[in-house]
Amino acid sequence: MNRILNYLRDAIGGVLFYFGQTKLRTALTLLGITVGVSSIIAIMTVLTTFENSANAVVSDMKTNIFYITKDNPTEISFGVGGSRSRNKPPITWSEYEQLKRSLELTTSMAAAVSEEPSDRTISVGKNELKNRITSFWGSDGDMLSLNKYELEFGGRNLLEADMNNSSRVAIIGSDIKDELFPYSDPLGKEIKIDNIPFEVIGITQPKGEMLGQSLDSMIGIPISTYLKYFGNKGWRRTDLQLILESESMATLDAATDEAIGVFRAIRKIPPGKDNNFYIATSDQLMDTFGEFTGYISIFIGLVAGISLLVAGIGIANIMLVSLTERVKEIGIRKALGARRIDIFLQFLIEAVLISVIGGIVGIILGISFGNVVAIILEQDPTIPLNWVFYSLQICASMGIIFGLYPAIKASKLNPIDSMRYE
Amino acid sequence: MAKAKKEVISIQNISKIYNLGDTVVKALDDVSLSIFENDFISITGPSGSGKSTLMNIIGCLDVPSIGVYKFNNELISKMNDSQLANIRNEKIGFVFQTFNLLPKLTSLQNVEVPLIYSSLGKTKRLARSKEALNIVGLSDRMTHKPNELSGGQRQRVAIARALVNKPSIILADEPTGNLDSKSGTEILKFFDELHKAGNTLIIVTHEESVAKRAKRRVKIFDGKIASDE
Repeated sequence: MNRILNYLRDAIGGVLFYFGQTKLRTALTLLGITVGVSSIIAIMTVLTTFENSANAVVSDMKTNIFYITKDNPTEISFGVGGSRSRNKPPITWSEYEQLKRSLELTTSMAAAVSEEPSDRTISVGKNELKNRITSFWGSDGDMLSLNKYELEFGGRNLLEADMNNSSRVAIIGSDIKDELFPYSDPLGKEIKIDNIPFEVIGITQPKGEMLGQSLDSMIGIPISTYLKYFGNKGWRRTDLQLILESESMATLDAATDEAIGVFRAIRKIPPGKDNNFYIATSDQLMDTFGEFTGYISIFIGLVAGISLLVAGIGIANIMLVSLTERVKEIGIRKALGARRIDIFLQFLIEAVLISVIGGIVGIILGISFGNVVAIILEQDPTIPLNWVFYSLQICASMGIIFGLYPAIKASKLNPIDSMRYE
Repeated sequence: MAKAKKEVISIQNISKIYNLGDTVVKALDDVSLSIFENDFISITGPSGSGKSTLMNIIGCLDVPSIGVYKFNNELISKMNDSQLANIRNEKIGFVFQTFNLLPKLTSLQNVEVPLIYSSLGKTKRLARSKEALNIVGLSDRMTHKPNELSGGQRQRVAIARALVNKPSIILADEPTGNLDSKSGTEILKFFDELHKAGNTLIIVTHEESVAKRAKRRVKIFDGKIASDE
């Protein structure tokens, strides 16, 4: 045991000294590892911050909520699969009403038309907001509770009468209140959406951000009003998004199954044919996001793997150079009693140290760079601890793999010839 | 008197044969030699006579092709690489012509090197190394690196390194070869002292003046012992 401690001390001292002697060369070798590791860590840091904030928002959302839409919304937002939607029929108001009548396990349900983001112009007097609205929707009163919005005191929700009369009333998010009514209470005041006047009847409490997008830059009106003033397809052909809620997490699966069955019956889809609509729980939305980050991770892993392979060859190279420079030293050490295993371990420890030091520098750079990006994208800074450990493991194994050959070569040197080597 | 002495090295009919393709070179040819505790022996011979080969075998850096070599009654000729390394580490102190200090280490660290390979803790290592440097009179040069020392001082660091593990024999290969005559004489005087202190010394040299100091002189010629007096 003492022997091992002895080598460790000796090897660390030796490596530090050797770094001092060959600064440039060692720095270049380290650079390879550092670049590889820092790129992994930086990207993982950014992805982790996104995952964290998405997780926070989703766990904040009621998880016993599920959606019925024409297409998978996450696929659309990532720009894939858009072409498939042409063959699918829109989800209509009459389907919504039939569904609402038949479902027993779904406790509340809303149909919505939404523009996310919306390019409508919202104005109060001369002040206007354009291209700043993340969500403009038409729905009924359940929309707010389903999306976990709470109304500020004094306001009211959309009512049945608003639907029936296609009233020009609006619920606004806290961001819109801050921007357009900085000094006054907007309740009862007039707000214009594309120059059509609405009365503000409710303001929601701030909800923060999800994936860098404000959830409070939102404006909602009765769905009938939306269709009357902004819809261009009419009641029959406008594609709706259905938001459903089961009684609890325990009944979520049964409720989704029921919804699928009933909706297939409404659409008269024969058994064996695929659904021509999409149904998703919040968990599934998260999974889709997880899949997306998974692909990025694999891609980054490949790129980083190649750069680490090149870096590893650099380590093998520097260890071989170091070996030829130190043949005499090895001979002397052997004459003084170093066994093969001693020299082997000395070289291996040095190789591992070089790659681990390069890895640590890479981790520090990667975390710094990743968090700078995260802060620019307005995410909370984070440290992807699991990737820090993976990187250290990868570096240590690289040191072992690429240090192996030089270490074996060094250990096999003959003391008599090596001592004469100049 | 001679009977009471313990036999440290026993070499019986050893030969070292190098096979260089179609020619066979016999570097040592049927050599026998016994070395006893507290002997002070010189081994001389012209270059190519086989004295370096003999020294390498005595120093356990090499093994004979034929014959028996016993060190403190242990059979060396059959030992493997790591057993040989242990013998070199614990039983033999080497002093080389070119000092063979590690240039990047201080005197103290150089003296410590053999102790790294014996299972000794850091504190004991330091104490032993300081003691050895004290014996050679270099206590005030512990933190100097070899290039900051004179030739004589370097060789004394090397001697301290040879002594640090309290070896059975000290094997010196042309210890004064790279020194001016003044430092050379100093080193030789120091060898005399080591001999008086009870150490067993073997000096390989081609200089008559060095060989004369030894109590027993072995001459080697053409791979054989020409005289032993």
